[in-house]
Amino acid sequence: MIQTTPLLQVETLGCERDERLLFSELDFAACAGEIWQVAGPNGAGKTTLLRILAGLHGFHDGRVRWQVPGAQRRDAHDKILFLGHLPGLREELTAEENLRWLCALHRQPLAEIPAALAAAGLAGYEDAPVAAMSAGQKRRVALARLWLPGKAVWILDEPFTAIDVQGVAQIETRLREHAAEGGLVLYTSHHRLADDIRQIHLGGGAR
Amino acid sequence: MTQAARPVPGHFYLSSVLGLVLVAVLYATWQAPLASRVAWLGGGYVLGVLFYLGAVRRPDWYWQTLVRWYHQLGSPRYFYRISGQWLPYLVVLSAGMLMVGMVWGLAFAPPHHEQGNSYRIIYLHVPAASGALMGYSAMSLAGLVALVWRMKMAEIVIKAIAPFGAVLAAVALISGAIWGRPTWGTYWIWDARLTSMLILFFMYLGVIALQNAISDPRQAGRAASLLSVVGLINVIIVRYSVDWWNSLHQGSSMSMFGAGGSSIHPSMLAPLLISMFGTYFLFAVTVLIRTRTEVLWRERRSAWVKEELS
Amino acid sequence: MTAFGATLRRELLLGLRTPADIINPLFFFVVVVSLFPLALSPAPDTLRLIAPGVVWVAALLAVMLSLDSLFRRDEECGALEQLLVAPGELYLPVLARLLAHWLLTGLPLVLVAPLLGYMMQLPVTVLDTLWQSLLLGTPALTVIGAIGAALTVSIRRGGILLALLVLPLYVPVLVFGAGCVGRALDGMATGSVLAVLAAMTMLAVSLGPFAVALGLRISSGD
Repeated sequence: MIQTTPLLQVETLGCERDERLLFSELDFAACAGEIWQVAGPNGAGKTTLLRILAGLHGFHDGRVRWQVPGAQRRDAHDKILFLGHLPGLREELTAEENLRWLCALHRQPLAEIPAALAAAGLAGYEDAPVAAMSAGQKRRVALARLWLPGKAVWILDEPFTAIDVQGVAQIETRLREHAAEGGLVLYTSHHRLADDIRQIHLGGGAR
Repeated sequence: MTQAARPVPGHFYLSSVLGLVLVAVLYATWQAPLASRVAWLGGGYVLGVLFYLGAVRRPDWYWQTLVRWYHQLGSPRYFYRISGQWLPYLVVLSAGMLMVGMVWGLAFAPPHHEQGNSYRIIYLHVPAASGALMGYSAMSLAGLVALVWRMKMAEIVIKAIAPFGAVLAAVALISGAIWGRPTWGTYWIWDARLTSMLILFFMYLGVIALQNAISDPRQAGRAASLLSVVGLINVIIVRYSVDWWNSLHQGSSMSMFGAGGSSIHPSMLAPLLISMFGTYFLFAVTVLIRTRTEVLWRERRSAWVKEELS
Repeated sequence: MTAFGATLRRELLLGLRTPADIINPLFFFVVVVSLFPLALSPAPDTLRLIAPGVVWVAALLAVMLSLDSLFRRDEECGALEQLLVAPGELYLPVLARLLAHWLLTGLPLVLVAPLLGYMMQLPVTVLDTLWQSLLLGTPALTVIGAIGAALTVSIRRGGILLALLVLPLYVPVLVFGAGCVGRALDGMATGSVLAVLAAMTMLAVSLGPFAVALGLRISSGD
């Protein structure tokens, strides 16, 4: 594994929501080539932590510092792929139309969308309206963006929800590939991938 | 800011500032009542002299002072301490000025040559109306600070200003209606000033409602900040559009200061100015008290609050 | 494809897939205006007198009601946070979104207004001013209302709140829009008033998307 300067440094991060302290004094540094799991019981602030890292939630103490090579701005949004716990797809549009908008917005190549959908196990579903899809299929449409290039850091909130066993294995392989290529993955899930994965345990402390 | 050690051309500062003040005063008091003309001129004069003195002596003094205040007032702990020191003086000032201004205005000022004694409600109405306007401007300023520099204290101040501003706007509306009964023969007329005040009242209510609808206090503060900044632009445009609308429909041009809107005798003006400043100080007192309470609540987990309250 | 073009395309596509979103505000506009003759009197002189105000207020309410769903559906499905984490400024995508929304809901109102004005007994010469004033005024209504919609998107049942926030902000546009038609009805020149209306729309369209983007960020918790 390549040891580099950390892509992400989190210092004394703390967050309070609706007058309840979720976590405090969180410190960790994540480097390229690593996979981090954010674990903890329900309501421990896993989603909030990921939203803070993605720059969606600004009300926190402490600092979040991104140093992603090639990023244009300090928040490194052009190098971060964030997939929330909702798939982010409009039911009125087809899988491809949804992805085309997301890709144009996130500056990823539109031409590779069909290949990405096929890799996510949805070959032939390009023109299917999302409304007609099952929950697992919707999740796969959102996850198809993992097969599109251009993002060094993946922040995934519950990526395995509604995915079948085969799909979980497939995504797990994809996450490992990305880490091996020098990417960084942070995800929340109750499902632990393997022992070598680093953990942030909320309601406990880092690692 | 860079600090250049060159002599300051004081006349340059003086002439430019006084020129700007003059233009502002001429613009602001064009066909305005004498009260506001005097207030603008006096305020402009004092500001100009202060600026001149400071600019000649230490050119970077303003900037440094501003930066220092910003950092100090941005810290909840410092704010709590310093506002506790200011508060007694402000209470005395506002109570004293309100009492003097009201008693003088209501009992001793001469009656109006057209309206008799009914005009005396201006000693309540005008301070309330100008306080409501000032309050909205202050709220928007705090909102701008909260949005641009993400200052927590500014978010709290907004929350503190809104309710009292709404109350002042309501007082201005009610006193205007009461004054309207003997003057126009009805409690309500769609007079340009009253209409603008009504819109301002609605806008205060909007800020308060938005704040109450959002559960996270910081999110609520920032949302209210954005709304009040947008609202200030709107307040200014509303004023001009309502004036235009009123002239279009030949509405009532009767002013509280008499027909034509520019005649007020100095013996009526003095108590008015005193009660106006008394109202501003009262505003400051309520805002400080509400802000202090909110600071304590939001910082209740910190060591200094526990120390303060033990 | 740029973020602006892609967003415009997506919004227009969404509008065409759910035509109710276009038709409902229009229908609302027509129904509200036709209530007034029933509530007041069918006398042509009365109707003509109130027509500018009635048409303008109805258009304003139709625009405002259409705005509640502007960001809410995207917020519910998670597409809004994808917009917020996108690299680059939000200004252009937001502008594209507002443009699409105006094309789908504001423009139909402008096109139908002359018909309603005619039914409200406005002289044919005034109908031009009516649609021109709406053409210049409704974009400002859309943008200003979108600021309120952005601020209330995270609030469940924010509809009434949206009205409370937005209606006072609509006052200047309403005053000049309806006033302009009223002047035309009195046989006065309207060019200067239309210019003021255009200036307000320029102000709203140039600065508004910044406020909308900021409002969306605030609603997401930033």
